[in-house]
Amino acid sequence: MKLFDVDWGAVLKDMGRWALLPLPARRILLDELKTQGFVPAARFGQYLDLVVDSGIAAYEPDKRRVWLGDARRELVKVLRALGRHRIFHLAPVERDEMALRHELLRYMEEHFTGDEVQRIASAALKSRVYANRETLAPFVQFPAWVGELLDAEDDEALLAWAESHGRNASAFIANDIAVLLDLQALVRHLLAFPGGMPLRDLVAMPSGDMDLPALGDAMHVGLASLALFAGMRAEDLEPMVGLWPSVVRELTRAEPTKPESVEVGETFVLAVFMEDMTTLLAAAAATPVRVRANDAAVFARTRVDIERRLVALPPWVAQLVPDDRIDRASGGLRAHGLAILRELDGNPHLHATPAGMRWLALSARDRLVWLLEPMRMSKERNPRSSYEMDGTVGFFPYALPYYRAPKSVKLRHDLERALLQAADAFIPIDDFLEYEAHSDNPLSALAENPTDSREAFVFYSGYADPRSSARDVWRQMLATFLTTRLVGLGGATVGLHESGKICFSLTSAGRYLLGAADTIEYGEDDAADVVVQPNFDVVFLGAAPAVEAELARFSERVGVAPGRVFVITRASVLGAAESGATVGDVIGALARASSRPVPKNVQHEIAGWMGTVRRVRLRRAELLQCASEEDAARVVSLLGANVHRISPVLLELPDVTPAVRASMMKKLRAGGVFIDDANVAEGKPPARGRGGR
Amino acid sequence: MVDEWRSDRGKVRVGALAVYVLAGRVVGADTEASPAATSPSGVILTPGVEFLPMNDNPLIVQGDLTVLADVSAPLYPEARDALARFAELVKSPEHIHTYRITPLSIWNACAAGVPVDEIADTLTTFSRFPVPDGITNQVRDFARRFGRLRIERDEHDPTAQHLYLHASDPMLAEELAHGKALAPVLGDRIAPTIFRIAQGDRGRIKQALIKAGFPAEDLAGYAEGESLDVALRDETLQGAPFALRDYQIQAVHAFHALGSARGGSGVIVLPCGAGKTVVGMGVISAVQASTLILTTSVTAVRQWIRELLDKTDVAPDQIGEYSAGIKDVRPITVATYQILTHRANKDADFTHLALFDQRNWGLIIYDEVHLLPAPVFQVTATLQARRRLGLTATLVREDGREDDVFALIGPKKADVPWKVLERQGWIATAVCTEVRVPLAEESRMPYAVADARNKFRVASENPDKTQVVRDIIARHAGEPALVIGMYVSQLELLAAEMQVPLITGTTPQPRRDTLYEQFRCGTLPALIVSKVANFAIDLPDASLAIQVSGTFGSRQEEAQRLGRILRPKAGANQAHFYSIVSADTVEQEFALKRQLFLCEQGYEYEIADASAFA
Repeated sequence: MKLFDVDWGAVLKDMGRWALLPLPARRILLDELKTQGFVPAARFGQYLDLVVDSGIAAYEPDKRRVWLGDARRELVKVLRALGRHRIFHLAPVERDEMALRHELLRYMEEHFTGDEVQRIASAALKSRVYANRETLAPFVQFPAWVGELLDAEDDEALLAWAESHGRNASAFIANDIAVLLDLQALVRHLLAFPGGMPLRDLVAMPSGDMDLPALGDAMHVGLASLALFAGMRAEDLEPMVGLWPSVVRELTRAEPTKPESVEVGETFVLAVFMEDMTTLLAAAAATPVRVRANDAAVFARTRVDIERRLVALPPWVAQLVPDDRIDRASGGLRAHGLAILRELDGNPHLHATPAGMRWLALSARDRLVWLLEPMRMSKERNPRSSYEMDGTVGFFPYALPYYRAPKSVKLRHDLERALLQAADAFIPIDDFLEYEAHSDNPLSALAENPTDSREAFVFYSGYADPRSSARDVWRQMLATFLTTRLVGLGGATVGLHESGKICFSLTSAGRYLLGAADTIEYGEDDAADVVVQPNFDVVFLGAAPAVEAELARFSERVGVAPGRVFVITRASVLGAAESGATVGDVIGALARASSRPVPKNVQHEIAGWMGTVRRVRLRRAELLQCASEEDAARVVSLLGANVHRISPVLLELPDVTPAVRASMMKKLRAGGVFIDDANVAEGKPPARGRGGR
Repeated sequence: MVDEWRSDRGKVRVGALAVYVLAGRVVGADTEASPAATSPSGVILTPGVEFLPMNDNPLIVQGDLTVLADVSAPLYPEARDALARFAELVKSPEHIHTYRITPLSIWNACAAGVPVDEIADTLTTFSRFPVPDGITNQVRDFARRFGRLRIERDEHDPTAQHLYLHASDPMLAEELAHGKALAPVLGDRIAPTIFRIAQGDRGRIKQALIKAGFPAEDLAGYAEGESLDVALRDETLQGAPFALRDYQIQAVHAFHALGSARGGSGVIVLPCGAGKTVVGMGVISAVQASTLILTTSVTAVRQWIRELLDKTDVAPDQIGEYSAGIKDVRPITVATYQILTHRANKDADFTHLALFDQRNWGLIIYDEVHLLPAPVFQVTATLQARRRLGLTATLVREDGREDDVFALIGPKKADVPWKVLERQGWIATAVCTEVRVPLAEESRMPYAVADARNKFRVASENPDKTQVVRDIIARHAGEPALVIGMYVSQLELLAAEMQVPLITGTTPQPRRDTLYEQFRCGTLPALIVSKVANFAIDLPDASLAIQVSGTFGSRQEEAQRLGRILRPKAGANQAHFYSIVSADTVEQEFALKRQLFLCEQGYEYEIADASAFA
């Protein structure tokens, strides 16, 4: 069944019959239409009379069954076909372009053969290469598909459009200027209906000279050229006709206005990624963190422990931060050289590097500066391509998917200019992105006229419309930078507007990263309302995420939201000590955070606990176990000062190079002292060599 | 009467929610009761309290049903009084107190007539942040379960040996009838919603219902018991003026409820030193019936008797002691839990439990109800026709049987935070100091080679503690001092070195009484006592306690020992509690547990090195 091969004039005439049926009856009918034929009358229940009265179905003589399809064969076929598509909805449904495309592919598969697709594609795309539904679909979703019809101002232009787009329609009809004018008027009319228009309303619309047959012809050409689409509205099973949703959206989109600054209520600022990295590194510094061999993700049990120490984000902030905070932190630590993956007991673990240990000892502000510095100083003017990524940290947190960035633009400059609009005030993020994508997009000009095929490829990948592509690329670049580089690193304060919109405003850290400030302030001016209690509880009476992150290093979270309660324990303090914290650090942090004096017993205990900390070095040693004191003396005489006597019969060999060690063994053998290797003596099998069986 | 909610840019004005004192029972009494109206629920209201912006509100309601209360917030007193009616105080350190809402605490509130709407309103009104989703619903769910079951007498035959259990609806009755634990004791179902139950099963059924999550409201009333004329004196036998304090009067009224079936059983929670014994005597005088008093030790028995004689007009021959040595049953009989639970061997019967039936008791008082032993619970289950009063400083039981206390003794009737009493001067202000003494040189090697348990003992018996005790006593010269310890050998050594008398479990009672008397009179400035001093010794003049060793980290022991010095003092009303521990040993680790406990009770806690006292 091809929708464009229908006698639409006749169908539109009968469409009022469907309107007589309530929704449950429509559902039953559509179910039965799938099979077509005789249907037990009881199947329609209370709606039987309505269905029969509508004329869509007729009774069998014995009235035990009804017959579908004979009386209104064309209408029934159309209803069945329409029932298979859910293009139109009562309320606007936000679907991404790919989901819509999937719907479009199904539609084309139902109503167009491969040849028909090839025919329309080769003409409309002005390409002689083989085209299939997948290659055609993006162009159909592009506003220019019907834009050219709308823009046609004379017969020649209309006929040109019909020549390229209407090849599947009856040539007789498609070359009729009157029909094309009717179609143009119809398309123009439908622009006012982003959710499509009920077919029964189409019949009743004031259409000037357009009678039903004329309307039917316009429908035929519109449907055959994929300028129009028909389907059943999802919610009430109303037959609809309309333009493709994204086409209407783009053609009717109002030019976004420049976002204005707003007042916000609740605000939040925290270098979440840095604090997460700190928490993970502190854990790794205490005990290397086991990770999975296949993807380096932190093991589940450890993950749960560490997650409890991460700062809890308000729900409205959490949506700006990726869920995989620990894995991102792990990646960040490795990218910055603060941690490395190394095997321990045969399993990969995340270890803190010496640089990581030094980083942990820095203040929160200095830790942040340390992270921001390489980004800020990076010479990158544009994002690198995926192939150029080398794991180092640069200004941009992403790569472009194909080849390389266009040379003719300096996206860093444009990105800084755009984001600095929020240097002093809060701007709604969505409005900002919308405006930047549509009205202030540095990629737009390039997208229209790419100077290089590689540049073009950046924009055409997956898109028919380079302008849409440019919008999405720029929007994505801004959004990702905003969340990962600014919000995630304390570069932006986010705020909640009373409308529910999330807004942002740059902090000194954000301005510093964008080159608009020389210093940053972080973690110093939090007006935290925190109380350290004599029973070692730390209670937050208000939100102070930076302080929370700092105190979480030497205390354990016990409270349940919305309360934020931590308890200082011996184990947590010793954990902090192991990762390099001193008594002064811990008590200083408490004193800075607490709005009331830190109880003396708490200070006393913390000092006591940390006073018990001692550091010892673990090293491997090789021991020579001698049978007697005399044997030991002989070994000493042969090796001289190279051996250290641990007991009268136990000697330790120094940690020397293999060559020196071999020389020592040679001396012993020459002196008649032979080494029995303990491993061999204990009967361990020798390691199998390569290829041995 | 109830003002409507009115929100004015962050300010909330509310009337009914500023609940202050529950009629007939105490919920905190540190502020003056202003002229106030009484709501239909019996709640006395302070209208027109202007609530501050949300950020100044004192409560943080957490998702796990705990509530944090900021004591420095302007509305804290109001919030605390409202909260105390339906949440248990878990810890009360200096700045932020923690309360916990449980089904039991809600049922306690319901039993006291607090409407669930007021509970929900209290949470939302005083909360600093929006109350988490589900908390209010959970509270309502708990409350909905209360009152759906009632135990009542047969109104046509009050003397009948059966009672009726009424369910609110047939479905609930059906659920009960199919409950494994309940079905055997429910008796006949005489109507879709009514069961006939035996008098003797009243306690067991209440216990089982609590466990099933449906507390029964017991309106079956009490046996009057043998009548006894008792009145409180205006002047003690010692000649001092005597009267119940306000909070004690309110506690008595809350319990007695003018003799109605809604009163007569329950628990009164008062801190150590707040006069629980006096409240008990007040209840006896209200009930005017023969009374069995159960307490923790012979010393406590004697203390009760002495107090009864001192502060009531009961004649000495009307008071009996029932202990290991004496078996004297009189209209008022004071017995120990130990004697009641004594038996020849573990398979034998508890012969002394017969005491419960030896007289027609009109009232049974369970002193230190949080220590009530299991066999006494069992007997109490059969004594539901008698009025029952529980006295305690804490409803928290180490064995978690709070629900049995609720079911068998009764709901909480009064609870006055100790901080309130301290502020009012009814109990002394205590400063706790942990003094750390390095382990003596001669103890180091024994400590190093000892196993875990003996390590604690070696550290506890650190001989260098003796000098610190001397130094502390010297610093507090003139203050009566109690030196308390766990190990008798250590105490004997201490007593010998300091020339101070020692009381242990083996000290004969006459000798104890003599020493107590001398201590009370001031002729004996210091006394060394073993853990016999943990319970119910009344040493009103002690203002200094020095603990040289304790039972590992026992919080209960710490509370009892501290309680010895909390009675009000003349002058600065200040008491000092020192705990001497060996530094950097396991004793210090156990001391940390006690430190936490005391801090959570709100006491000021200091840590000092022994050298500071030298």
